[in-house]
Amino acid sequence: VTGAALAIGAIFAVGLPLARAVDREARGTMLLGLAYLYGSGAVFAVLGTFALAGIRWATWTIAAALAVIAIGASRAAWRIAPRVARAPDASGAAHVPERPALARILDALTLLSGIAYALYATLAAPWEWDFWAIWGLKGRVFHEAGGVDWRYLASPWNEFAHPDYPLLLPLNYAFVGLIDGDWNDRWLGLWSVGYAGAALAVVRHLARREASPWIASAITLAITGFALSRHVGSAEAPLIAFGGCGLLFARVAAHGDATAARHAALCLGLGASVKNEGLALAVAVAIALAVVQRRLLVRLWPALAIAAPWLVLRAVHALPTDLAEGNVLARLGGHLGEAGSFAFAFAREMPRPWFWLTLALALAVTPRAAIAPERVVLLASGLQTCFVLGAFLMTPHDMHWHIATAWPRLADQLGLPLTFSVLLALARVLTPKAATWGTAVPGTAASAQPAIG
Amino acid sequence: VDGNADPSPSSKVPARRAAAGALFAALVCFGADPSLLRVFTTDRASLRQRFTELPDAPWGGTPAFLAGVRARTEAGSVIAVAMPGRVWDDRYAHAYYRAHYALAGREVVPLVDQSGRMQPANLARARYVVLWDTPPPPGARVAWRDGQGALVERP
Repeated sequence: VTGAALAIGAIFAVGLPLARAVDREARGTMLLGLAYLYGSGAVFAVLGTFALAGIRWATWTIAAALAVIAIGASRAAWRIAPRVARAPDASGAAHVPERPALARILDALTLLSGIAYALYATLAAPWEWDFWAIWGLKGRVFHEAGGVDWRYLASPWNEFAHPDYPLLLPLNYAFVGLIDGDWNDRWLGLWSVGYAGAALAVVRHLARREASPWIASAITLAITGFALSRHVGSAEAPLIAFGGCGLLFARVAAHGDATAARHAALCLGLGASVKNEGLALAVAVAIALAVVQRRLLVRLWPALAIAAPWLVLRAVHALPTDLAEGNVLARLGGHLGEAGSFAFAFAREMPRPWFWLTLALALAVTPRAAIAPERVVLLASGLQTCFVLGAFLMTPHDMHWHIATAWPRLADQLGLPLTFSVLLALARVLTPKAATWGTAVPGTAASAQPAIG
Repeated sequence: VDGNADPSPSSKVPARRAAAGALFAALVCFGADPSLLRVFTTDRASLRQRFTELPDAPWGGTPAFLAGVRARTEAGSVIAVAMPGRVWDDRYAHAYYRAHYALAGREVVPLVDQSGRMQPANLARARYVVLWDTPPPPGARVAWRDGQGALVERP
């Protein structure tokens, strides 16, 4: 466990100053959650840059580069002036001396779920196919090569490993091997735990900004089923964390929070560096913001800057994408002709059907005024669903097989932001006064509105 | 965004709040997944054993065999994978993919592709052939044997 522990320590060491540089007001579990996300992103950036420059990875050079980033971020964090505009913190946290008993019980259940997940995810080396045939495999291959092995990715015999998938997760795994001195996958499940914990921490904080303690605690408990992904070692946990948090930050940014816009851009860019669905989500969020708050679109430029290098590299190396193989239009037409059969397959493979039915019902009956602040999340989620359905229609694989193996995971990816938004909308109906969104400075009369609940 | 508007017209407030409360509670219950808590009461040692064996179970091989092959082959060497029948079925595919992970750093190639076509060029390039459940051909130089598996070194 030593190498994994040291690697996680390094991720936090570089992530903490990065998170503070982005958001000087981040504190507590929110700071820790952001630190893990950004630290993991920094590891990806450093190993990726070295590989691109043709510099073979070595422990001390990578450590030195991470130290330079940590020092630079620390200096930047001190120089950043306090924010002047932020969405109101409606939680009224300063006026609530302690959490009510219900919030404590709900938080205890969330913590218990987290501990159970940590035990589950570290029972053995990650055992899922997607780990050892895609994410862990690439991490191990790159570890052996001391950099990104383009020959391996370009080989037609290795197409099963999805050479076109971005490299954030494999490079994080290679980082553990680098610190350990040899490949050791025994504790790589901790990465899933880290991403899941980060997602819970960010959601808890964002919910608490708008709602009373018990509602924030309930929302956090409700998303455990999505954040604590059972696909240990696969890209689901980081994708849910980066994508879900990115979308929720974009939602807050749409209500006038400049810092949230930075978080949204970084999280969406890093999500796009985890898996192709993350890239699709970044596009979906950009379109949603273009509709809801067009001036924010330009502030997403860091997401493009983070995602673009891989898009260029995979084009330069002509890494194949299975969805684009062969005659796409013919497949699309053929699959559309079997629309009824596929609709049935989607329904049959729907994970947590009661949850999604309840969510749909809640969306249908919640008054428009209560659901209106959730437009960014709902619009982006709808677009992402369309992208996913499009991918199924284009698939070169047997579509029923593809739906059965991928649809439950894809649905889970949207579960986190949708649960957050719909629960907050319901909370607005439950409480006598809804939270106020605006551009007030924390501590002003506007920000001192009573919290939901 | 007009968050100030009261979303609940006064005449329907109690019913609406009750419905919202019920939906809120249901979503929290359905969202949280209590099945994870079973890990506290389950036999974790046997579950660990099951998860450890899971990746190799479909092809019937063992991690120890592939680790033995790894220890006896050089980084960068080309290794072909052979199974009975030389057909691309689930078992062969699994062994081939699994060998990629265990033998990372070597170039693992198949002797038959997904369309069932033999790949003699891969055999010609291979320095080693990993055989599972398959007897080595007469005269082959067997570098190592372990149970049902053998590692053949080609000239």
